[in-house]
Amino acid sequence: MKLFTFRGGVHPLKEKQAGKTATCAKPVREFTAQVVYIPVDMHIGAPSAPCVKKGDTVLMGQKIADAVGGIGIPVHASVSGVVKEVGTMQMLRSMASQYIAIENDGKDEWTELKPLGSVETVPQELIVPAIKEAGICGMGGACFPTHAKLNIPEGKFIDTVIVNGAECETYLTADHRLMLEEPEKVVKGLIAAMRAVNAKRGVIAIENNKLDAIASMQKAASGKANIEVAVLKTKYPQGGEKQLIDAVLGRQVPSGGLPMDANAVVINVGTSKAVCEAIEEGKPLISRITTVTGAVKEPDNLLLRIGTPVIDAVNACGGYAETPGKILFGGTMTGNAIPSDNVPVTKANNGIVVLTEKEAIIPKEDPCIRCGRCVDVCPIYLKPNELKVKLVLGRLEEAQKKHLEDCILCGACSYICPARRLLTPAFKEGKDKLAMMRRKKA
Amino acid sequence: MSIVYAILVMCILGAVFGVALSFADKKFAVPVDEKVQRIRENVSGANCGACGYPGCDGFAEAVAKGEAPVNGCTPGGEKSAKALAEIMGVSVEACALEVARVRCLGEKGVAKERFTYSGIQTCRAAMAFAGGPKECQYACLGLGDCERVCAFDAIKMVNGIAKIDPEKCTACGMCVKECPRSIIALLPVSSKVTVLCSSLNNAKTTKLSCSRGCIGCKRCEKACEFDAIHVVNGLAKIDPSKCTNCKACVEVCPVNCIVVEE
Repeated sequence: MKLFTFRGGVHPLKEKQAGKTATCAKPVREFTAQVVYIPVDMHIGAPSAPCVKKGDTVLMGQKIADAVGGIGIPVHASVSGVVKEVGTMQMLRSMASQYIAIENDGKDEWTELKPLGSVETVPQELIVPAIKEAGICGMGGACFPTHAKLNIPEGKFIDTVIVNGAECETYLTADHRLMLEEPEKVVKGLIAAMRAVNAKRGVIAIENNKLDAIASMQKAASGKANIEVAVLKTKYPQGGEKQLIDAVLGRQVPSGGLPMDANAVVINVGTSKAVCEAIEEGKPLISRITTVTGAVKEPDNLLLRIGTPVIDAVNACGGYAETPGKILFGGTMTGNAIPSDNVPVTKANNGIVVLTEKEAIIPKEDPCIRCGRCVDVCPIYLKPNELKVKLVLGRLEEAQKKHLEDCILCGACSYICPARRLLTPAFKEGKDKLAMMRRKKA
Repeated sequence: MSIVYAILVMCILGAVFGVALSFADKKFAVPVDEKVQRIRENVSGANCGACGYPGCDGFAEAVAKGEAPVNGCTPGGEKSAKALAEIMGVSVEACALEVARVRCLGEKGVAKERFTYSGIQTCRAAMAFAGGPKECQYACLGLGDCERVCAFDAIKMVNGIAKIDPEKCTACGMCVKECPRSIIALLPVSSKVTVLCSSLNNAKTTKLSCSRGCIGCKRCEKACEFDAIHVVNGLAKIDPSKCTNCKACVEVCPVNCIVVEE
C-alpha cells in the first residue's frame, strides 16, 4: 500500500506510541456536568453576542448567543436548564472571555429541531447556511468557522475535500474513537461538504498507526463514488492542513495562501460528523469527544458537553493521579496550557492532557550548537535557527522577510532541538507582534 | 650605512604621501553643514531613538533641515532644546521636565498570582498566555521588556515589578511605547505625589487581586483641598497643574497606592 507523507517532521514519544495506548481502546463514554460555562468566543472571529439573560430557561440546542460579523457563528445551549449567570472569566486568551453559565436540570430536553433530510438529496444552497446556524467550527484545534471555509469566493474552485483523521498529535485518541464508532456520519459529513463546494473527490486521510480506524472507514466508504481512504505515514505534523494537502495531493499551499489556493479543503473528522448531524438531524454543535489522559487515574475518551469545566471532566476520570504540574488543551506538541482547571471545554478541545510536576519542567535554554536539525524537521522549509536569532535581536522585519508568518507553530523544531532552545514560543511571540503591527497600520 | 638609506627613503615617501593627502583633502572635501555639527554636539548623544529618527545624527540633520522640532531630543531636555533653538534662530517654549513612572505597586506578595508562568521570559509573551500570570490584568508583569529598551540603564526589575531610577531617566518615552500593558507614563518631575495603580477593575476585583490597588473609595478626593484628585472609572487621578504636593491624600489612602516620590 502506498503511504502518503511530506518532507520533514518528527516522531514524538515513539516508544510509547505517542501516549495513545492508554485510551485508544476505550469506547467513548458520555459525561454531563452539573453546571456548564459556555464561552461565546470559542471560534476565530468576533465573539458572539449573548441573547439570553440570567434566570432564563433554555432547552438543549437553543441558541444562546447570536453570530457577530461575517465569519461569526452562533452558540447553543449544551444542556437544558436555567441560565445561572452571564459573566467573564480569564481563559486562554489575553483578554477575559464572556461566558454563559447554565445550571443543568438533567432532563436533556431538545429544542425543536429542523432536519433537512439526507445529505445526498438536500438542496446544495442550504448546506452552508445550515452549517453556520449549527455553530460548527473546526474541531481539530484551530476553531475556524466551517461555513467560512466552505464559502468559496468567485474565481476559485475546489476539486478535493480531505477529511483529516490523521490525529498526529501525541496522547489524543478522540478522532480515532470517532472513526471507529461513527464512521457513517463522518462519510455523510464529507458528502455534504463535497456537495457544498462542488468537489469531485473526497479523501479520508488516516495515519497508519490506526489500522482499525482505516478498516472501519474503508467499510463505511465502500460503495460511495469518489470517496477513498488514504493511508498516511505516522509522523508529526502529518495532520497539519498544509502538510496533509502536500502528502495526499502533492500540492503546496503558497506562502501566505489558504488551502483553497491549492484547490483543496481540509476538515477534521469531528467537524465532518457535526456537519452530518446538523443536516440530517438538525442538531447544533453542543458536544464533542475529548480525550482525558496523562496523570489522571483512569484515562478515558469522554463525550463532553461544550462548557464542561476541566475539573469535572478530570473527576469523571477518577481525578488526578498526582499533583498536576500543567494541564494542556490538546496534545503535548501544540496544546495550550490552561491557567486553572475551572476553564471550560470548548468546541476545539480534542484533549485534556494532565502533565505531572516533573513532566512540566521546561529545561534550561542552551546556546545554539548549529546542528541544523530544526531545519531538517521543519515541515514548511523554514530555518528556525536563523529566525530565532533574528527574533532575539528584535529584527522583526528581517524575520518577516524569512517567512516567519508561514510558521505553523507545530513545535517540531523545539522538540528536536538538542540545546532545548525555545524556538516555537519565540515564533509565536514574533507572529503576534507582526499581527499587532499590521492591525495598527490598518 | 644601509640604515641611513632606509630612513631617507621612508622620509621621502612620507613627504610625498603627505603632500598628496593634503591636496586630496582640499580637492575632494565634502561640504559639511556646520549647523548639523553644532546641533549634533548639543543633543544627548545616546542614540536612544526616542525622537523617531535613526540615531542622533539623523535627528541633527532633520533639525538642520527644519523637519524636526528643536525640542525633539527628550533626553537632552531643556538644555539641548535651548541650545538648538539658538543655533536655528527660533524661540522655544520652556518644556516641562518629565520623568517616566511605573503605575503599579504589585510586587511579589502584594499582587496575587494565578499560576506560575514558565514560558518565554518577556512581558509580551506572558501577556499573550491567558492574560499573564498575575491576577490583575493591569499589573506590571516584571519580565523586563522596558528594561531592555531603556538606553540609559534607568529601569531595574525589583521584586517582580519594574522600578525606574528618576535620576537616570531622561523621559525619552521608549519604555512607555514598549510596555504591553501601557502602565508606564510620563509625568512632570514637579508633581511628587502620584497614584501608582492602573487598575480600572471594580473595587471587589481589585481588592481580591492586589493589596495595594486603587479601589476608587474617593477618600483622597474628599481630603484634597485643591480639587486636584478625582476618581475616574474607579481609579484616582491627580491633575499635576493643581496638585500642591500637600500629601493630604497620601495620609487618607486606605491601600497606600498614592506614593510620594523623593
